[in-house]
Amino acid sequence: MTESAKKNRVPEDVMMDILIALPIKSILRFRCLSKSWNSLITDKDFINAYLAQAKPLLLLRRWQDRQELYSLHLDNESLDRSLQFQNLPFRSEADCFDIIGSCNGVVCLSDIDHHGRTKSLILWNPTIRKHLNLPLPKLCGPHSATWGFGFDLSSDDYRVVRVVRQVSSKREFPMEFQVAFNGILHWLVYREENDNRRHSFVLSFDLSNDEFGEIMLPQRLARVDIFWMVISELDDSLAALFYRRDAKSVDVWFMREYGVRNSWDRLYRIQVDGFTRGMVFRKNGEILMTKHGSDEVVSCNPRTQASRNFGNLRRCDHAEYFVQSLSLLNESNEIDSRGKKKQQKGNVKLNSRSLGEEQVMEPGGGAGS
Amino acid sequence: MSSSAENPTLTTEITKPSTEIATETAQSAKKINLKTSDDQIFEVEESVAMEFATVKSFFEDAPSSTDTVPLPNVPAKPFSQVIEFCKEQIKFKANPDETEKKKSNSEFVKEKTNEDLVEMIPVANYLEIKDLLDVLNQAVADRIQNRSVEYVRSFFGIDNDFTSEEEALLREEHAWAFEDVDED
Repeated sequence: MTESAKKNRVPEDVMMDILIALPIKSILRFRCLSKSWNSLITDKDFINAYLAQAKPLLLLRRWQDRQELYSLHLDNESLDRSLQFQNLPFRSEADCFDIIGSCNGVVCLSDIDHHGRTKSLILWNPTIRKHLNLPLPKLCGPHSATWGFGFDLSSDDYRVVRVVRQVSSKREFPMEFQVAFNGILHWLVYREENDNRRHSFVLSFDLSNDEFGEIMLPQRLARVDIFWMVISELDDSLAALFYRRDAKSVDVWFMREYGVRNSWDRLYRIQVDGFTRGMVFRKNGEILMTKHGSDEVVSCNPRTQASRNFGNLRRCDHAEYFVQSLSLLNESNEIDSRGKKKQQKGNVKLNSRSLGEEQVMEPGGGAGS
Repeated sequence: MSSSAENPTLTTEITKPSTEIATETAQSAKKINLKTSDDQIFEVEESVAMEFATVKSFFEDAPSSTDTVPLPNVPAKPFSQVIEFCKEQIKFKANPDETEKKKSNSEFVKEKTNEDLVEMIPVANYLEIKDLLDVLNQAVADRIQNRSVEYVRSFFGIDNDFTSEEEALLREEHAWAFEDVDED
């Protein structure tokens, strides 16, 4: 066949199937092939199709020589490393970034200084080595804030949500963001009651209708110190991991029916060797935890109580499921003279909630302004 | 593939009663003529021709047709290779063995040139042979994965329609993606 007859013989939908079978590094390189390949690769449908078939891996953050390292691991018995991401292409003013969360292959990081002030908010897709600095909301008063991150299907965009504690409001204290799934973000919050006793609950924010809600914890956990608790996702519902004071066991609670308090059940009590923090429920039923001290990764089977230590994965403080994606490929990261991101199509909305007030603030009408 | 029982479209050329459930031998006895874009006529067994969804629906639309089926988008050279693949596939239909099938598929693509693969893709696509398309797509992906832009352009016969400035910008945007690429 002559060269000219060969041209464009591969139909576009087949080209898409070939591209999907390639690693992202090759896909980015092949943007240069021609204009039609470039537009196919940057097309939203292709980016979504790639995301839909991407295999979930485990993203771990570990520490080495005061540097934070992010790596991807297979969700297999030995947690084989599949990829070591390059060092962060941006610097933290504090000692390190807080990982707010990740979705669709995008990690949301916040840089919070020693006074609790947020210095920067960053969306980072480590697979394509691209990051965006989000503008901070105009209203950044002297109150502590905690951030949440998720993807909103209805607006087809990422959302960063801020929960603020107002000094004048009810005595409610938001703690770290816990987990997002099915378009709902979850934080742990405790409320100081008149008798000075603490009452903890899960604050939820539904990205599809911008509504906050309160989800009650099991009676037994509502009064414990939430510092010892982690909320995670299990089978599309909430799970609570609570480290008992004896430092020898972790209780795992599961909300069988999402949002229904009576459906909380204690699933397991896991015997642990010293203080251990849960990170993620694995697809094989095990729980990935880190051991205090060495911060060594431990995978624990709650049914058999058998646990496996990963001596090669030390100094780990974060693990979650992660997919490699082309998300953010089309986002412009031009910064104008005021240091804010220029208006762009896919801007990231910011929502804030002051505890004690029910309405949602959208400072400045979104991040792009 | 649906059996002839569901689709008793045996033509008058066949002496067997058309209502009888066709056996493997009865199927293989029937031949179908297919004419390629370069006017070559291939006589293939019905069971092989029914692997081509496009041909199958031709017979569904015109059950008593005895004509040669024209395949205007299919040149003879890749078509003969497609037939070769489908003949192998049919063996695994009667006797499924995933490991053997994978082995056979990888041997099939291994001995094909880049040009063979690229020419077979539109044929497999036109004839709607999903198994073959999957095999070809994966084989192509494996061959181009670590290759340079120039290599892949010539692989598919793609004309570069970027200006050198446009291309340089794209290369700069993903400079790391151009590192550690196989020599052409």
